[in-house]
Amino acid sequence: MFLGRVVGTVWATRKDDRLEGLKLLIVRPYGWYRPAHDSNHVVAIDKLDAGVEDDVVVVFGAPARWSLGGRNLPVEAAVVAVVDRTEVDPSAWTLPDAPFRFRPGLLPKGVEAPRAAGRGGG
Amino acid sequence: MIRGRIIGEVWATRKHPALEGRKLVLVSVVATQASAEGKQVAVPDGDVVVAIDTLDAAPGQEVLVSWGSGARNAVSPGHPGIVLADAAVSVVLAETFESSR
Amino acid sequence: MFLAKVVGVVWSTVKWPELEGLKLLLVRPYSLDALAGRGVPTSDAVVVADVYGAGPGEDVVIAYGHAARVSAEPGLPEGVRPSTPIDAAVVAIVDRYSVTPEFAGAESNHGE
Repeated sequence: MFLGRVVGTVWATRKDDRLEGLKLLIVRPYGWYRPAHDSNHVVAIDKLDAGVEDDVVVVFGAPARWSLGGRNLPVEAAVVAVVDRTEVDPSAWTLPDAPFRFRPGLLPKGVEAPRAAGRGGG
Repeated sequence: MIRGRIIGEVWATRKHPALEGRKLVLVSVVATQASAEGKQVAVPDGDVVVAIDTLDAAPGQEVLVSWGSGARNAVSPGHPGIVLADAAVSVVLAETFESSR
Repeated sequence: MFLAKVVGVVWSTVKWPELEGLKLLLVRPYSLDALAGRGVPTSDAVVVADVYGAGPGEDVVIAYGHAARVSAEPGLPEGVRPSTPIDAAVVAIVDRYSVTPEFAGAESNHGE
Protein backbone atom coordinates (compact mmCIF):
# COMPACT_ATOMS: atom_id res chain seq x y z
CA MET A 1 0.00 0.00 0.00
CA PHE A 2 1.13 3.55 -0.37
CA LEU A 3 0.20 6.94 1.03
CA GLY A 4 -0.75 9.58 -1.52
CA ARG A 5 -2.56 12.85 -2.13
CA VAL A 6 -5.61 12.97 -4.39
CA VAL A 7 -4.72 15.51 -7.08
CA GLY A 8 -7.45 14.99 -9.64
CA THR A 9 -10.43 13.15 -11.09
CA VAL A 10 -10.96 11.24 -14.34
CA TRP A 11 -14.21 11.03 -16.29
CA ALA A 12 -14.68 8.24 -18.83
CA THR A 13 -17.81 7.01 -20.57
CA ARG A 14 -16.16 4.50 -22.94
CA LYS A 15 -14.80 1.92 -20.54
CA ASP A 16 -15.00 -1.64 -19.34
CA ASP A 17 -18.57 -2.49 -18.22
CA ARG A 18 -17.18 -3.73 -14.93
CA LEU A 19 -15.98 -0.17 -14.16
CA GLU A 20 -19.50 1.24 -14.47
CA GLY A 21 -20.37 3.56 -11.59
CA LEU A 22 -16.87 3.47 -10.10
CA LYS A 23 -15.08 6.76 -9.45
CA LEU A 24 -11.53 7.18 -10.81
CA LEU A 25 -9.07 9.40 -8.92
CA ILE A 26 -5.58 10.60 -9.82
CA VAL A 27 -3.29 10.06 -6.83
CA ARG A 28 0.22 11.39 -6.31
CA PRO A 29 2.23 8.98 -4.14
CA TYR A 30 4.24 10.55 -1.30
CA GLY A 31 6.68 7.70 -1.39
CA TRP A 32 7.15 5.41 -4.33
CA TYR A 33 7.11 1.65 -4.15
CA ARG A 34 8.19 0.27 -7.44
CA PRO A 35 5.07 -0.22 -9.48
CA ALA A 36 5.30 -2.12 -12.77
CA HIS A 37 5.17 1.08 -14.77
CA ASP A 38 7.21 4.22 -14.90
CA SER A 39 4.58 6.92 -14.28
CA ASN A 40 4.65 9.20 -11.23
CA HIS A 41 0.92 9.08 -10.57
CA VAL A 42 -1.64 6.34 -9.98
CA VAL A 43 -5.26 6.15 -11.13
CA ALA A 44 -7.18 4.44 -8.32
CA ILE A 45 -10.80 3.37 -7.90
CA ASP A 46 -12.51 5.14 -4.99
CA LYS A 47 -15.63 3.93 -3.18
CA LEU A 48 -14.93 5.88 0.04
CA ASP A 49 -15.82 9.24 -1.50
CA ALA A 50 -12.36 10.76 -1.15
CA GLY A 51 -11.96 14.23 -2.65
CA VAL A 52 -9.23 16.28 -4.26
CA GLU A 53 -6.60 17.27 -1.66
CA ASP A 54 -7.43 14.36 0.66
CA ASP A 55 -4.64 12.05 1.74
CA VAL A 56 -5.46 8.40 1.00
CA VAL A 57 -4.06 4.89 1.38
CA VAL A 58 -4.07 3.00 -1.93
CA VAL A 59 -3.67 -0.77 -2.31
CA PHE A 60 -2.40 -2.51 -5.45
CA GLY A 61 -3.20 -5.84 -7.09
CA ALA A 62 -5.53 -8.59 -5.90
CA PRO A 63 -6.55 -6.84 -2.63
CA ALA A 64 -7.63 -3.84 -4.72
CA ARG A 65 -10.03 -6.08 -6.63
CA TRP A 66 -11.25 -7.81 -3.44
CA SER A 67 -12.00 -4.43 -1.87
CA LEU A 68 -14.50 -3.96 -4.71
CA GLY A 69 -15.97 -7.41 -4.17
CA GLY A 70 -14.53 -9.39 -7.07
CA ARG A 71 -11.52 -11.20 -8.47
CA ASN A 72 -11.92 -10.62 -12.20
CA LEU A 73 -12.20 -6.85 -12.25
CA PRO A 74 -10.04 -4.72 -14.57
CA VAL A 75 -8.73 -2.83 -11.55
CA GLU A 76 -5.14 -2.50 -10.42
CA ALA A 77 -5.40 0.07 -7.60
CA ALA A 78 -8.08 1.11 -5.10
CA VAL A 79 -8.46 3.60 -2.24
CA VAL A 80 -8.88 1.62 0.99
CA ALA A 81 -8.61 4.47 3.53
CA VAL A 82 -9.12 8.23 3.66
CA VAL A 83 -6.48 9.54 6.05
CA ASP A 84 -7.46 11.61 9.13
CA ARG A 85 -3.93 12.14 10.36
CA THR A 86 -0.37 11.10 9.55
CA GLU A 87 2.32 11.19 12.18
CA VAL A 88 5.99 10.96 11.30
CA ASP A 89 8.46 10.22 14.05
CA PRO A 90 10.95 13.10 14.52
CA SER A 91 13.81 10.61 14.48
CA ALA A 92 13.01 9.84 10.86
CA TRP A 93 14.40 13.23 9.86
CA THR A 94 17.58 12.99 11.88
CA LEU A 95 18.81 9.45 11.26
CA PRO A 96 22.46 9.84 10.30
CA ASP A 97 22.28 7.26 7.58
CA ALA A 98 18.68 7.53 6.71
CA PRO A 99 16.66 10.69 6.26
CA PHE A 100 13.74 9.13 4.39
CA ARG A 101 12.50 11.06 1.41
CA PHE A 102 8.90 11.62 0.62
CA ARG A 103 8.49 12.84 -2.90
CA PRO A 104 10.16 16.26 -2.84
CA GLY A 105 8.02 19.35 -2.44
CA LEU A 106 4.96 17.65 -1.00
CA LEU A 107 4.38 16.14 2.43
CA PRO A 108 1.32 14.51 3.99
CA LYS A 109 -1.15 16.80 5.76
CA GLY A 110 0.06 17.78 9.22
CA VAL A 111 3.62 16.58 8.61
CA GLU A 112 6.38 19.17 8.61
CA ALA A 113 10.03 18.80 7.79
CA PRO A 114 12.22 20.37 10.47
CA ARG A 115 13.98 23.37 8.96
CA ALA A 116 17.45 22.79 10.38
CA ALA A 117 17.64 19.03 9.96
CA GLY A 118 17.24 19.24 6.21
CA ARG A 119 18.28 16.68 3.72
CA GLY A 120 21.80 17.96 3.17
CA GLY A 121 21.32 18.60 -0.51
CA GLY A 122 20.79 16.19 -3.30
CA MET B 1 10.60 -9.40 1.93
CA ILE B 2 12.11 -5.97 2.08
CA ARG B 3 13.97 -4.26 4.86
CA GLY B 4 12.73 -0.95 6.22
CA ARG B 5 12.47 1.38 9.16
CA ILE B 6 9.23 2.42 10.87
CA ILE B 7 8.96 6.19 10.48
CA GLY B 8 5.36 6.91 11.36
CA GLU B 9 1.74 5.93 11.53
CA VAL B 10 -1.44 6.67 9.57
CA TRP B 11 -4.94 7.04 11.08
CA ALA B 12 -8.14 6.80 9.07
CA THR B 13 -11.80 6.70 10.11
CA ARG B 14 -13.19 6.33 6.60
CA LYS B 15 -11.73 3.07 5.44
CA HIS B 16 -12.63 -0.27 3.96
CA PRO B 17 -14.40 -2.38 6.64
CA ALA B 18 -11.78 -5.10 6.18
CA LEU B 19 -9.15 -2.69 7.55
CA GLU B 20 -11.14 -2.06 10.74
CA GLY B 21 -8.90 -2.29 13.80
CA ARG B 22 -5.72 -2.59 11.75
CA LYS B 23 -2.69 -0.47 12.61
CA LEU B 24 -1.15 1.13 9.52
CA VAL B 25 2.49 2.15 9.69
CA LEU B 26 4.75 4.11 7.36
CA VAL B 27 7.90 2.21 6.47
CA SER B 28 10.92 3.81 4.85
CA VAL B 29 12.50 1.18 2.63
CA VAL B 30 16.24 0.72 3.07
CA ALA B 31 18.81 -0.86 0.81
CA THR B 32 22.22 -2.04 1.92
CA GLN B 33 25.20 -0.38 0.31
CA ALA B 34 28.93 -0.65 0.77
CA SER B 35 30.35 2.31 2.68
CA ALA B 36 33.72 3.90 1.90
CA GLU B 37 35.32 1.55 4.44
CA GLY B 38 33.80 -1.45 2.71
CA LYS B 39 31.20 -1.98 5.44
CA GLN B 40 27.59 -2.77 4.50
CA VAL B 41 25.29 0.02 5.71
CA ALA B 42 21.53 0.51 5.48
CA VAL B 43 20.54 3.49 3.35
CA PRO B 44 16.99 4.64 2.58
CA ASP B 45 16.16 4.25 -1.07
CA GLY B 46 13.45 6.93 -1.13
CA ASP B 47 10.48 4.57 -1.13
CA VAL B 48 7.88 4.85 1.62
CA VAL B 49 5.24 2.16 1.91
CA VAL B 50 2.17 1.71 4.11
CA ALA B 51 2.03 -1.68 5.82
CA ILE B 52 -0.29 -3.41 8.29
CA ASP B 53 1.47 -3.90 11.61
CA THR B 54 0.32 -6.67 13.95
CA LEU B 55 3.62 -6.79 15.88
CA ASP B 56 3.27 -3.34 17.45
CA ALA B 57 6.54 -2.06 16.02
CA ALA B 58 7.67 1.36 17.29
CA PRO B 59 8.98 4.31 15.29
CA GLY B 60 12.68 3.97 14.59
CA GLN B 61 12.65 0.18 14.69
CA GLU B 62 13.96 -1.79 11.76
CA VAL B 63 11.54 -4.32 10.29
CA LEU B 64 11.08 -6.75 7.45
CA VAL B 65 7.97 -6.18 5.37
CA SER B 66 6.45 -9.01 3.36
CA TRP B 67 4.44 -8.54 0.21
CA GLY B 68 1.43 -10.03 -1.54
CA SER B 69 0.15 -13.35 -0.22
CA GLY B 70 3.12 -13.40 2.17
CA ALA B 71 1.75 -10.25 3.78
CA ARG B 72 -1.71 -11.76 4.11
CA ASN B 73 -0.26 -14.88 5.70
CA ALA B 74 1.70 -12.75 8.17
CA VAL B 75 -1.48 -10.97 9.29
CA SER B 76 -3.79 -13.95 9.21
CA PRO B 77 -1.94 -17.29 9.12
CA GLY B 78 -3.93 -19.95 7.35
CA HIS B 79 -6.62 -17.52 6.17
CA PRO B 80 -4.72 -15.14 3.91
CA GLY B 81 -7.69 -14.61 1.61
CA ILE B 82 -9.57 -12.31 3.94
CA VAL B 83 -6.88 -9.70 4.56
CA LEU B 84 -7.07 -6.52 2.55
CA ALA B 85 -3.39 -5.66 2.28
CA ASP B 86 -0.42 -6.03 0.00
CA ALA B 87 2.22 -5.29 2.65
CA ALA B 88 2.65 -6.30 6.31
CA VAL B 89 5.33 -6.05 8.98
CA SER B 90 6.39 -9.66 9.48
CA VAL B 91 9.63 -9.35 11.47
CA VAL B 92 10.87 -6.71 13.91
CA LEU B 93 14.65 -6.75 13.84
CA ALA B 94 16.26 -6.75 17.28
CA GLU B 95 19.75 -6.31 15.98
CA THR B 96 21.39 -6.70 12.61
CA PHE B 97 24.87 -7.91 11.85
CA GLU B 98 26.35 -6.50 8.71
CA SER B 99 28.87 -8.67 6.99
CA SER B 100 32.16 -6.91 6.39
CA ARG B 101 32.12 -8.08 2.79
CA MET C 1 -3.43 2.12 -13.26
CA PHE C 2 -2.22 5.33 -14.85
CA LEU C 3 -3.11 7.85 -17.53
CA ALA C 4 -1.43 7.74 -20.93
CA LYS C 5 -1.78 9.30 -24.35
CA VAL C 6 -2.23 7.06 -27.38
CA VAL C 7 0.57 7.90 -29.82
CA GLY C 8 0.32 5.08 -32.34
CA VAL C 9 -1.02 1.73 -33.46
CA VAL C 10 0.97 -1.50 -33.83
CA TRP C 11 0.09 -4.10 -36.49
CA SER C 12 1.48 -7.60 -36.57
CA THR C 13 0.63 -10.73 -38.54
CA VAL C 14 2.91 -13.21 -36.83
CA LYS C 15 1.68 -13.51 -33.26
CA TRP C 16 0.26 -15.90 -30.70
CA PRO C 17 -3.24 -17.12 -31.69
CA GLU C 18 -4.58 -15.74 -28.37
CA LEU C 19 -3.72 -12.24 -29.59
CA GLU C 20 -5.76 -12.64 -32.79
CA GLY C 21 -8.22 -9.77 -33.17
CA LEU C 22 -6.73 -7.80 -30.29
CA LYS C 23 -5.73 -4.24 -31.19
CA LEU C 24 -2.31 -3.13 -29.99
CA LEU C 25 -1.63 0.54 -29.23
CA LEU C 26 1.51 2.49 -28.50
CA VAL C 27 0.95 4.81 -25.50
CA ARG C 28 3.09 7.24 -23.53
CA PRO C 29 2.41 7.42 -19.74
CA TYR C 30 1.64 10.91 -18.44
CA SER C 31 3.92 12.55 -15.88
CA LEU C 32 2.33 14.70 -13.15
CA ASP C 33 3.79 17.75 -14.89
CA ALA C 34 2.18 16.81 -18.18
CA LEU C 35 -1.13 16.16 -16.38
CA ALA C 36 -0.92 19.65 -14.88
CA GLY C 37 -0.58 21.09 -18.36
CA ARG C 38 3.16 21.64 -18.30
CA GLY C 39 4.54 19.83 -21.30
CA VAL C 40 3.48 16.60 -22.96
CA PRO C 41 4.02 12.94 -22.01
CA THR C 42 7.62 12.10 -22.88
CA SER C 43 8.26 8.85 -21.01
CA ASP C 44 9.07 5.65 -22.87
CA ALA C 45 6.21 4.31 -24.95
CA VAL C 46 4.47 1.10 -23.87
CA VAL C 47 2.55 -1.38 -26.05
CA VAL C 48 -0.94 -2.07 -24.65
CA ALA C 49 -3.94 -4.12 -25.77
CA ASP C 50 -7.23 -2.35 -26.45
CA VAL C 51 -10.75 -3.72 -26.86
CA TYR C 52 -12.58 -0.39 -26.44
CA GLY C 53 -11.53 1.31 -29.68
CA ALA C 54 -9.16 4.06 -28.52
CA GLY C 55 -7.27 5.95 -31.22
CA PRO C 56 -4.18 8.13 -31.54
CA GLY C 57 -4.47 11.45 -29.69
CA GLU C 58 -6.90 10.10 -27.09
CA ASP C 59 -6.13 9.81 -23.38
CA VAL C 60 -6.63 6.40 -21.81
CA VAL C 61 -6.43 4.66 -18.43
CA ILE C 62 -3.96 1.73 -18.55
CA ALA C 63 -3.86 -1.23 -16.18
CA TYR C 64 -1.06 -3.77 -15.80
CA GLY C 65 -1.02 -7.43 -14.87
CA HIS C 66 -4.14 -9.43 -13.98
CA ALA C 67 -6.34 -6.33 -14.43
CA ALA C 68 -5.04 -5.96 -18.00
CA ARG C 69 -5.77 -9.59 -18.88
CA VAL C 70 -9.26 -9.29 -17.39
CA SER C 71 -9.85 -6.16 -19.46
CA ALA C 72 -8.95 -8.01 -22.67
CA GLU C 73 -11.58 -10.66 -21.84
CA PRO C 74 -14.80 -8.68 -21.26
CA GLY C 75 -17.04 -11.75 -20.80
CA LEU C 76 -14.76 -13.55 -18.35
CA PRO C 77 -16.76 -15.27 -15.56
CA GLU C 78 -15.77 -14.74 -11.93
CA GLY C 79 -13.38 -17.44 -10.73
CA VAL C 80 -11.88 -18.20 -14.16
CA ARG C 81 -8.28 -17.15 -14.70
CA PRO C 82 -7.74 -14.94 -17.75
CA SER C 83 -5.32 -16.46 -20.27
CA THR C 84 -4.61 -13.69 -22.78
CA PRO C 85 -0.81 -13.34 -22.93
CA ILE C 86 -0.59 -9.59 -22.28
CA ASP C 87 0.61 -7.46 -19.38
CA ALA C 88 -0.91 -4.04 -20.17
CA ALA C 89 -4.29 -2.94 -21.51
CA VAL C 90 -6.68 0.00 -21.87
CA VAL C 91 -9.49 -0.16 -19.27
CA ALA C 92 -11.12 3.22 -20.02
CA ILE C 93 -11.00 5.99 -22.61
CA VAL C 94 -10.85 9.39 -20.91
CA ASP C 95 -13.48 12.05 -21.70
CA ARG C 96 -11.98 14.59 -19.36
CA TYR C 97 -9.72 14.82 -16.35
CA SER C 98 -9.00 17.56 -13.85
CA VAL C 99 -5.93 18.03 -11.68
CA THR C 100 -4.99 20.56 -9.01
CA PRO C 101 -1.82 22.08 -10.51
CA GLU C 102 -0.28 23.12 -7.17
CA PHE C 103 -0.35 19.52 -5.96
CA ALA C 104 0.33 17.78 -9.23
CA GLY C 105 3.10 20.09 -10.29
CA ALA C 106 6.83 20.13 -10.73
CA GLU C 107 8.93 18.63 -8.02
CA SER C 108 10.85 21.03 -5.82
CA ASN C 109 12.98 20.57 -2.74
CA HIS C 110 11.61 20.51 0.80
CA GLY C 111 10.89 24.02 2.08
CA GLU C 112 11.63 25.39 -1.42
